[in-house]
Amino acid sequence: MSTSRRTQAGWIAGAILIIAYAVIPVLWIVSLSFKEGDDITNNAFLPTVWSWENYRTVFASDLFTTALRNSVGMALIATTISVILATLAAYAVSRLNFPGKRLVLGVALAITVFPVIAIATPLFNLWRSIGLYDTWLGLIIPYLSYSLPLAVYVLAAFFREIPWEMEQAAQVDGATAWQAFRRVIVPLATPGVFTAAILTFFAVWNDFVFGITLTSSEAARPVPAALAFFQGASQFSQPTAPIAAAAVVVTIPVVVLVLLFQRKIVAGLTNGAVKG
Amino acid sequence: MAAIEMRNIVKEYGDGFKAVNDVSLDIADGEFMILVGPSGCGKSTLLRMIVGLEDITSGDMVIGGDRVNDKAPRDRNLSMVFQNYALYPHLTVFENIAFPLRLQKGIAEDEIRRRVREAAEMLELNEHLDRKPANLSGGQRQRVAMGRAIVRSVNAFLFDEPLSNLDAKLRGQMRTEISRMQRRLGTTTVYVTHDQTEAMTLGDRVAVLRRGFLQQVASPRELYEQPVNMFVAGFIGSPPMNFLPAVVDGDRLKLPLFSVGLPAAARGRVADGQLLIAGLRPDHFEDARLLDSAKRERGAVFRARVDVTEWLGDSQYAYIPFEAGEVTKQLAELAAELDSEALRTQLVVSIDAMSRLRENHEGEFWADTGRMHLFDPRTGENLTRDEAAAADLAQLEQEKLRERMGSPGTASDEPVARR
Amino acid sequence: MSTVEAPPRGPATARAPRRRIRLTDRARHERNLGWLLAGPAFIAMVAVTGYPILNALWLSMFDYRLTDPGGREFVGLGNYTTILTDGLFWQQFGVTSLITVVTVAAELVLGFALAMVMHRALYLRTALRTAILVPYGIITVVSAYAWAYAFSNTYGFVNGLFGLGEFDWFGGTWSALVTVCVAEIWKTTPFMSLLLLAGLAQIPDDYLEAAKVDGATAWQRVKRVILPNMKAAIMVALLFRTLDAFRIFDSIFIMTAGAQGTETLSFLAYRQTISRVMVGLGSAVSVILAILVVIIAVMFVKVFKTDLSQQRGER
Repeated sequence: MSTSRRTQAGWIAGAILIIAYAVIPVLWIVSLSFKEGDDITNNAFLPTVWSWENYRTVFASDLFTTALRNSVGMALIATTISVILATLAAYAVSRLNFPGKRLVLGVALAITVFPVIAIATPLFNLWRSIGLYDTWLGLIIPYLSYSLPLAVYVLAAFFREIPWEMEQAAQVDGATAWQAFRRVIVPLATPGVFTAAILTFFAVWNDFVFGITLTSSEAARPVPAALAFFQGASQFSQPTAPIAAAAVVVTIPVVVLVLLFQRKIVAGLTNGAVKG
Repeated sequence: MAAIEMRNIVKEYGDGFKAVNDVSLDIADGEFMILVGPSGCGKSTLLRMIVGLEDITSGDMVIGGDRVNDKAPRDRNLSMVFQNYALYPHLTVFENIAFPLRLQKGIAEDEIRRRVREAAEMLELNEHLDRKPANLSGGQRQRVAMGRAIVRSVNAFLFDEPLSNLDAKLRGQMRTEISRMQRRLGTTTVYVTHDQTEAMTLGDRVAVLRRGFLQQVASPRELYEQPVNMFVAGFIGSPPMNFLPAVVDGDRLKLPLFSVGLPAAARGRVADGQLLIAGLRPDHFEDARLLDSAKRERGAVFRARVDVTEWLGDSQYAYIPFEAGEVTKQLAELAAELDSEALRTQLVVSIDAMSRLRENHEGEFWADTGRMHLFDPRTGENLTRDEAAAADLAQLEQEKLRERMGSPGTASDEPVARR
Repeated sequence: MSTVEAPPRGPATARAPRRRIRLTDRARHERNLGWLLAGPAFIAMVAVTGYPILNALWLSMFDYRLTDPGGREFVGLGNYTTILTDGLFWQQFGVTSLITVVTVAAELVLGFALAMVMHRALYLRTALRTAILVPYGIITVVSAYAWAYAFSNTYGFVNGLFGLGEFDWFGGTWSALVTVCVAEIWKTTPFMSLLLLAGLAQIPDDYLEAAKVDGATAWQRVKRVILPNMKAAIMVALLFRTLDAFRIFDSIFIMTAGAQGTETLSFLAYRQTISRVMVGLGSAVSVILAILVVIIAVMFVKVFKTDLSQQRGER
């Protein structure tokens, strides 16, 4: 399409506006995290003195470091299991004919629709009675069931784009169904598996509801929940700037993933939601 | 290598639709069989039932003497070239061709290498072995798919419209390449196509399918000259056969533009006043002015106004509109079934490229009525098929195949022919 | 994993006895493999959601305080009556609906503009898509903090920027709701715009060129060509976002903690069960919330008359 120079300039202006829209709040929290003393309440965007003080505070705090460890550990475990299960399930629903296929898809859809809080409160009761309350496993399990539908949809969309003939050719060439899956389909679906993993990680990393309802101590509390319970040096000063610093720390993995895999994430989101 | 026998093969889907209906077909060892028909006729389904990608509802599929109905594709020892080639995008050309060998346990790496190289050499792919399919041209991909098919020793090759994704020029080259390869390896081959030229040139025999029913199995020549019914007559040949209403009038036959004597073969099979459909191929016509008188005597001459002419350099077509009357609807239905659309009833005649006939002017035409066929409008049956001539043609085809198979130039257990 | 594969080997086993059985080997094998592969994920999804849902339904019919297990008493639909006759519930329902409508409407308009720019801008494309993913990927709690501090009259820059002096955004219902909506819109518009972008990308350029040749202005092209062809994408985006917005919890928790009449239904369910340990009442709120969400979903599908399963590509 031929676009005149002037309209293209308009689009560029729009693009710059959007970039500003997206990053200014992030820059603000970064800027806040570097403020110290009176700067914190200076009501200005930037600090007058840049200080690492807040970062020292949060990393010195057990509350934050254990929460970070909890978050990273649980997110990695839940993502890994979720993606493995989702890969198998997505292959089945997109490729194989078996009774109950629609049931699997229906349950997945129902879970994405169902309010998290409506699950969290009964789980709270259940976990308390069977001893999963305030444990890693107690969080990983709901993370798994809540991230599976997304992963299944994203992966099913990827599987559908692999031509049927791939498996058929493999079968004619002498492969069993399992060999066809392992030697032909899995290598082709690797980008999709990867994308699903990133999106799943985001979803788990973002969790707040399960984090605050199913934990009561540092034993399993993830970062978002810990942030809400974060206390400063004294009971009375609101630990604004340290919270900002902690917020920046947990945002870094997200930004890194986005920078590295921008294209894959966009493809995964749009495929999974519109077509998948 | 093996013969393929199909006995009353039926494919019925869950909704009761029968994609393939009671097809029985014998394919001899080493024969090149073409399955052809308009879209939706069941030709691909039949091929997929041979290879095992489609379940067989009833009937027997026998390959090399073994009933294979319940066997998985990988246990049937066949190889297939898919329409879109189905190359594995994550594997190199070498690994694509080697794939079937790697799945068979116990073939040494040396042996795999040797066989892949041989296949690649035959298809002139040696320089491309390390490339990925995405970096290949359409023709090269097609050859890789063939390489994967010929690398192991199989009972039969199956092709599912392998050339339809290539442009016209390349298609012509690959067609001769496939023919040459099949002749050299002598492997039984089943080839699905909707392309006239491929059907006519490649096969020893051609099976014409219509809505899941087998219409006629014969050599290309026999199909063209002695079709069993209107469907086969209309399907084979390009441009297609002209169909005109013909009314029996005593011992004459009246057609829209001319009338002829009732052919001997039809006598006794038709009643006076009966409406028939006459079939005349475009090349059964000629510009009457360019004809010597001896030839002129053997057919009918008529005058008609030319609507449009198409001059192609080596040939020329003239279009002559006519009224089909009662049979218009029937002809339109047949046209729709043959994947075309009958916008108007017109006669397509092939005339000499030298002819100076002009559009919108009247011309004088000659029709070779001796080669005309007459069809029953209700059943479509050919009333003038010459069984003796057909038998002769079948005999000829048999001899050709026997001659080819009788002198194999290669050891039969070797997957790729040595030069 | 070799147990997955158990097909007949020799022709002897494959031949005679199989003929009577309708299901061929291949089909039955496919069935088994299907459940073998989908089973674990299915169990993981159902086990953790199925039981809690049923449990919530059951508990919602009891007057049950966690601190007083002995006083547990069956009250039937009593909890529901209590909730539905309480003015506070309807106020929270109103707040939740208001936030949902405002944010989703703003996100749709803004998201469409974003999608148009992303689709058309030839330069800065990568930078644009990367930037847009930051709000999407960022933790909701972090986004809530960022905006809460930005609007705060103690720490924030917003008042300074707009010359509002000591205005307390979190002091009144409406201004507090504005901050919550801004935070929500900022965080979720990118998701909406990516879904819309996918729909936009599926419209062939030919359509727009044809419309141009036919004499359509830029606005007419958007209204008569682009929007009708994006109906499916818009519906999916709206549905997902509406359901999501209706469940708003994180931002409210962080930014207002439900003060100044900004409590939403999710927050109510949380407060009843976790803070006040009124398990029976809290479960009833959860059930009501779930029913409302289902009603919204059904309404969407009805209104757009597009089969969602078709949209989801179950062909």
